[in-house]
This record gives sequence, C-alpha cells and structure tokens, in this order.
Amino acid sequence: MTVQKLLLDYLNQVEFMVTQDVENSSEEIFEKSLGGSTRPATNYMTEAGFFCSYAARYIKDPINTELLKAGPQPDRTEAGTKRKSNILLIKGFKDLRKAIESMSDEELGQTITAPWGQTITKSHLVMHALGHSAYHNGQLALTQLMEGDQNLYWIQQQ
Amino acid sequence: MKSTQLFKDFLQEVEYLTNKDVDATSEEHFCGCPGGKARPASNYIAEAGLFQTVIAERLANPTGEIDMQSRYGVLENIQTKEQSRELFTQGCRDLEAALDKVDTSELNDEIQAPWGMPTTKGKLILHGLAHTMYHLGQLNQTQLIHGDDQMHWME
Repeated sequence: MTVQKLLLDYLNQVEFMVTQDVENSSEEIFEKSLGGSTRPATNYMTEAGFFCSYAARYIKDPINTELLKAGPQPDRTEAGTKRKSNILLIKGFKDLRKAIESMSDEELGQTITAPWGQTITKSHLVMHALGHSAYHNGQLALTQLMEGDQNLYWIQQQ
Repeated sequence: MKSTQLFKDFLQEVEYLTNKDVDATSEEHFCGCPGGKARPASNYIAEAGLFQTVIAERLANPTGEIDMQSRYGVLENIQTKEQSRELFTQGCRDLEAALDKVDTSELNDEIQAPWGMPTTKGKLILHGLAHTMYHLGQLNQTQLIHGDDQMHWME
C-alpha cells in the first residue's frame, strides 16, 4: 500500500467523522463556550481547517512557506458562524487532498521541520494535521454530550 | 518510507501527547463527569487503549471472534487515573507490537472491523489512531473547562 493511498484513506475517514458531527450540531452548540472558558467550535474547527490548508502549502513548498507558530491563535481563527467555519474546514480538507494527490511517496517521505521544531516527514505532518482535526472533533462531540445529545453520528451514517 | 513506519511514528506521537495531558490532569478532574453527563476521562482514555488492543488482536487474527461488549465490560471497573493509564499504555504497546508484524503489502487487505463493518487493515489502524486523538481532544476540553489553558505537550 502506498503512503499516498494511506494518507488519502485517513483524510477521507477523518473528514467523514468531522463532517457528520458538524452537520448534526446546532448553531447554538457550535457557537457555545463550555463554562465560559473553552473556545467555541466556530474557532477550533476553523483552526482545524486552517491547519490542514497550511499543511498542504507547507508540504508542497517548505522553503517558501513560513513556519507556523505552534499552538492556538484564537484571535486569528474565529469565523463567527458555523457556516463560515464549515467552509474553511472543508477547504482545509480539499487543499490537503489536492496536495497529497500531487505528491509521490518519495516526496511524502522527505523531511521538514515541524512547527514544534522536530524533524519529521511530510507524511507525518499530514497525519498530525488530520489527527488535530479528529482532536477537535472530540471536543465538538463532548459539547454535544454535555448538551444532552448522546448520538454517535458517524456510526449512524456508515 | 514504509507505511507501517509512518503508523509507528504517529502512534509514538499520540502516546506522548496523551501522556502529557494525563500527567497534567488532577485525579479529581480526570475521574469527574463534565457537566454531569459526559463520560469521565478515566473511562474514555482507558477505552482508547483498549480499542488499540482490540485492533492489534484483529490484525493478528483477522477472522477471530471479538466480543466487543464483553471486552468493554472492564471499563466499568476503571475508577482511577492509574488504572486508566495502564490500559492506555497496554493498548499502545499491543498496537506497536502488531505493527511490527504487519507487512506494508497487507494494509489493503479487507477485513471485518471488530464492530462488524468491512474495512482494510490500514483503515482499521488509522481509525484507532484517530479515535485516540478524538478522546485526547476531550481531555484537553476538560482541562479548559476547569481553567487550565496550558499546552502541556509543549512544556
């Protein structure tokens, strides 16, 4: 199995799970800050999309792409509404898919410096970007649970 | 680069990130139910490990019977951070060992997921890793609810 195929499988899997939870969240849940201290999904789901778009640019052209500062920058990732956030999230998956599809396994195995300073392969950064999206999907699911929604949407739709 | 090495590298990262957040969460917050409704982290972090163990078993024996309900029964007895971490760490070791035995050429082989759906070996491994990241996000959310906004994996 090629690394390219594996990464595309992972992308499809994560995109499917995230999309199911986003579609099944009300505007109210999506814009909710838990206990007044967590970021709303309109912020962290937008960040998930931005990070996928960034990973796409960086693996294609690491020399001319500025190294991202590790960690959240909430003032830069607030979309304000579920619709705007979702557009940027989907764009992130689309950008990443296009980048993976355009690269060979040899290119995907080349090393780069991760935003957190470690030397990793380009394919590892893709795994990280998608894992980051799954991480924030877990947060959206926790918000749903705390609001009394016990459904597992990605299982229902498979 | 071999696909199985990519899995191992990412598993190592997922384990590191999870342990940092588990370390940084108090016993009280780790074992408490957010909002009185959601499962405690002690339950879902243990589940993340158990899920990886089950995936490792499926990879080793693609046609063997796995009774998920009975396997998950053990989660009812998880009451502490230490017990939870034990199952999580075991899951990482089991998956790591399973990855050593899977050849890259097998990753597209079709198998039945432990919950009954058709999948491939590669997709099953990916699902296990995404599942752990999903629950790690929830642990982070719990920290935030209790006012801890530190990025512990960066410390």
